[in-house]
Amino acid sequence: MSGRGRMDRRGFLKITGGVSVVALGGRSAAAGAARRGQERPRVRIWSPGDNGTVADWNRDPILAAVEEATGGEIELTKIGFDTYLDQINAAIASGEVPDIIATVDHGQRTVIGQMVRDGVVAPFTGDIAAAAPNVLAQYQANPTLEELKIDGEIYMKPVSWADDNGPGFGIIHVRKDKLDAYGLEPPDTFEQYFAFLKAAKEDGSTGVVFGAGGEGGLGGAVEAFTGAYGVPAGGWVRTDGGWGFWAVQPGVRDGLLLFRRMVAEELVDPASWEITDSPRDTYVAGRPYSMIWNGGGHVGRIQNDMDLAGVGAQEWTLAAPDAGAGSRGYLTVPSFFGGTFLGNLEGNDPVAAATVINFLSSEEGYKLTALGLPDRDYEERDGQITLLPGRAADGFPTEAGDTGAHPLASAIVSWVPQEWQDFALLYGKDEAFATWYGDMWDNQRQYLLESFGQLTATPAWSDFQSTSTELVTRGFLEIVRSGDEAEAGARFDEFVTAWRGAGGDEAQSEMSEALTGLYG
Amino acid sequence: MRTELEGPRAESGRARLVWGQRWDAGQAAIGLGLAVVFMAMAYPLFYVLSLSVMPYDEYVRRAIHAWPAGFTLTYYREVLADGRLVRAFEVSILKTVIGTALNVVATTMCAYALSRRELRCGRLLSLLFLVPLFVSGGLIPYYLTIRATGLLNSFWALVIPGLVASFYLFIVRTHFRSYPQEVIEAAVMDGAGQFRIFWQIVWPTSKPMVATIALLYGTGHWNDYYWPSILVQADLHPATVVLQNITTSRSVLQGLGLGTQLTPQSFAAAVAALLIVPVLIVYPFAQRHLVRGILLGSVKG
Repeated sequence: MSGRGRMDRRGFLKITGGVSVVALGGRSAAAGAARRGQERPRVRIWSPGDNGTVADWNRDPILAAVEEATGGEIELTKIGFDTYLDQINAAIASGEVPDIIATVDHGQRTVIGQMVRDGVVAPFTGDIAAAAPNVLAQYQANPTLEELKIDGEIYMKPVSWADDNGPGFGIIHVRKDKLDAYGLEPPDTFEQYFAFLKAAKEDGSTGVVFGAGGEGGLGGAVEAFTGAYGVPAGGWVRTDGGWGFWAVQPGVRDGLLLFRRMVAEELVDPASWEITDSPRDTYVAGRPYSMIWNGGGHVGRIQNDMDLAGVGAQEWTLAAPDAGAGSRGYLTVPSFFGGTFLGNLEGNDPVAAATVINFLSSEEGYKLTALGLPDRDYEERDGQITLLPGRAADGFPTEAGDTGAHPLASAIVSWVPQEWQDFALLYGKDEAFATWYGDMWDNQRQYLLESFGQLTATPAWSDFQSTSTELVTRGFLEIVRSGDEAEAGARFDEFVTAWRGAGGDEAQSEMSEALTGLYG
Repeated sequence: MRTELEGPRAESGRARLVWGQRWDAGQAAIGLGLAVVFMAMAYPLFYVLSLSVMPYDEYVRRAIHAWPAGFTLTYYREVLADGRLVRAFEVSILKTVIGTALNVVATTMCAYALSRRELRCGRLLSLLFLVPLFVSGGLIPYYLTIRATGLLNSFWALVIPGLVASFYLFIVRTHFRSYPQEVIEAAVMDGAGQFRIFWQIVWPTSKPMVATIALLYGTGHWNDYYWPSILVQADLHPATVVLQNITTSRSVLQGLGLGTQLTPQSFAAAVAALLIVPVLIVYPFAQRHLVRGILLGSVKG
């Protein structure tokens, strides 16, 4: 940050200081005041992504408000997602890392383990823990996050959108307008779902669409199908002898056979086998009357786009259907992606960094980055929030109709909390839309299956994981596209044998031991 | 098959396809083949341009966007509204012009020296240039070297490290080796030194080769993305880095569910179009040199 930049921002602070103090509450202001007499600690942040709508961080009022609240002087550098990890590796090699290394893919276990072993990052203990109670609270709120600890210590702030675990990526979407046209209720069982797909096919639909052309193959598309037989489509499940990998459980065989039936009866849009990214565009465009894809806030955005397309389509998400096997549910996954670390090399100030992280993770920090400064970017009267035109000048999105969050809200401590995502999506919408949106959330969450071990890996499992993924991807595609049910069953047995023989048994045994230590 | 096109009969003795002349089956097959090749080459460009001006409502109405529908400059406005882009294109232009000039001078001088059989340890020096064609130092050693030289976060980090590309060096060296030695010997007899021979005789008569490697280096500089994103900070990022970061970030954030619309491919197409256009403008002027230059360097004399 240039000296000129510092002066710019301090000058700005003098003007808006009063507003900021009101916005951030007495506690934060007091913390800032306590540090004012001292030299302001400098906190350097690296975060993946782009500056977005912020033209100059040195003049950004929201960042200035964070500085005021934390008493620090913050230097934020956004680095492209594509080269972010390389930049971190290069920085570590040169012995200079930022104070906050934000949003490292938590799946990069080798890199993270090496950073911990080399002392590049600091644990949230002692003074650091005292400066970041919100991070500790997040771990206490969700026991699954125990899996992220290394040697029993917290090293990362999960970059989250909620504290709990939520539905996965295999939510079944259907066209409600078509259900109404056929005189059908939203399907509650797979039989009813298949009946809808058959009616849709006769009506000219291409079938259900999902994305099975990418590296992940069927991916989350089988979630509800295996869930109907008691197996969450991810992570590890309790077995008689400890813990077992989900994909080789007997219930998965039944789930895949059910999925195969859908394929064999030609209820699947042929494009599904080619789509490498998202089936969303195909679904919104109107020919498939059903889709298996992400849920959450996407549901509202899909409806927005359907309205824009002007074909009268109405989006609906199904609660996980029943197959009569005594179980049903979508997989639950922890509501975060990536972890934010504290630099611990010479020149780093992990306590000051923890203070910044703690503020950004607080209710007031989330509100600041989601809405902006009160009476400047928004006003709140009788619990009603009204966004003001000045938001655009303060770095908030400027696209037409966009009510989104400030770039500081993403890829440092969160991906915008779900409540503020919902606020942005529902802002200006009528009551009917809000009710429908709430109903869709309820549907997705009606039946959920708990999963374990998605965040942790033993050495043997780390080594085997890529082989496992490859075997699962290939094996499942072959099973669901088999000529008949007997062949599909035989292929599943072959897949399990291959998986065990390729090293799965040893890796599974080690993981079972580790998960028994965590969960009993 | 008879062509109906009108036009002057080709006067050149080399021209063989004459308008108004009846095509035989072979010529028709060749014409058809070339047309297919042209379509295969031109369609991706057409597709990108078409997508970049497609309004969002038209985009969401179609599962496949193979053909133009509607017209809007919204995405171009969104991209160009980013204040950093002016600076980024400045950096790109400077990097391309200065970098290419330095590349060409350094590469041709180096290649000329290595082409001289009287150069001591010429083979060993050539070997040193040969090694990087097969083995790369990798990110960390490369980064630490640039850091140790003090180039990190300076404009020169964008041009100095890749000053001489081995592949181009060997193409130029091969060309210089086939250069008529009588001309050089005559210059030596007239008392010219090696610098004078190079600058006043060899360089001016090797323009196709110079233009060729200038074009190749220039395209490389313009498209360079990875190293600029690693070696310099945001204020020195060229347009490729800024535009790629904008596109990827939008895609990642909105894919995660942030923002009210999913970024259509049209935005990325507008970004791609902005990067392609300058190259499209320059390429036709240098194309004839490119073909000649490649041929010159690829045949050992």
